[in-house]
Amino acid sequence: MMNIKPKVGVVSCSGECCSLGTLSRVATRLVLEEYRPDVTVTICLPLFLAGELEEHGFAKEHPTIAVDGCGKLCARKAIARHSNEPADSVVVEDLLEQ
Amino acid sequence: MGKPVLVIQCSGIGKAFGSIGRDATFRVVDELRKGKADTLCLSLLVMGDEEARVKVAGAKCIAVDGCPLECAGKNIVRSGGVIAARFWVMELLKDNRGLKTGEVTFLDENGVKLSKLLAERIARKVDELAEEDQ
Repeated sequence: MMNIKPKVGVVSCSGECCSLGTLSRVATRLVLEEYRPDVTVTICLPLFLAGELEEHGFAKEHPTIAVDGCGKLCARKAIARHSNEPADSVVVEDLLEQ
Repeated sequence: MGKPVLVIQCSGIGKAFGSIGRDATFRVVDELRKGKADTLCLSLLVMGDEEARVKVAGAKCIAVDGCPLECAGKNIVRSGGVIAARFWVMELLKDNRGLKTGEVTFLDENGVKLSKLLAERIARKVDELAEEDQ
């Protein structure tokens, strides 16, 4: 029997308040479209948060990377709240400091 | 000047609809109606952030949704906000069938045209809502 690996979820904060959110969103889209199109999927964060069981199960089905713009960490907290701790996470604010 | 009208869009990361709504919202709050309109992170609101909830509760809100799931509109209501007007990007596409677009990360030429059209509609609605307060 073939062992099919689940795709990796990449979930970006929506980040409308500042440019950090736009950076996290664009980075996420670049991974999905250009860098790893065959092995990644995403979901809108508000849909994940406000959705039903199917949406909440996203991070249970996929090892998920949270991409947050600012220190409020909406994506990371949302994944931990509804599914599992994210497999990894990135905070754009921290990247800029580095 | 009264309280700014809040323009809240869905985050829509999977299709161009969300990107058009996002771009149009930024055009309104940063350029067309700077000072008269503002926005906030929908995710913060859905996470129950107190500051975001207070902001929504005290403002006239315009919901800008990309798809029929209406994440923006539904979450404004769930957070105790009042929707003063709604816009659906899919409706805009139906009205402008010649402007085909599919780019999500960076809008293409048609995406930008659609964003500008939507932004003008939202800006006019901001004016109407602001006038009601005067």
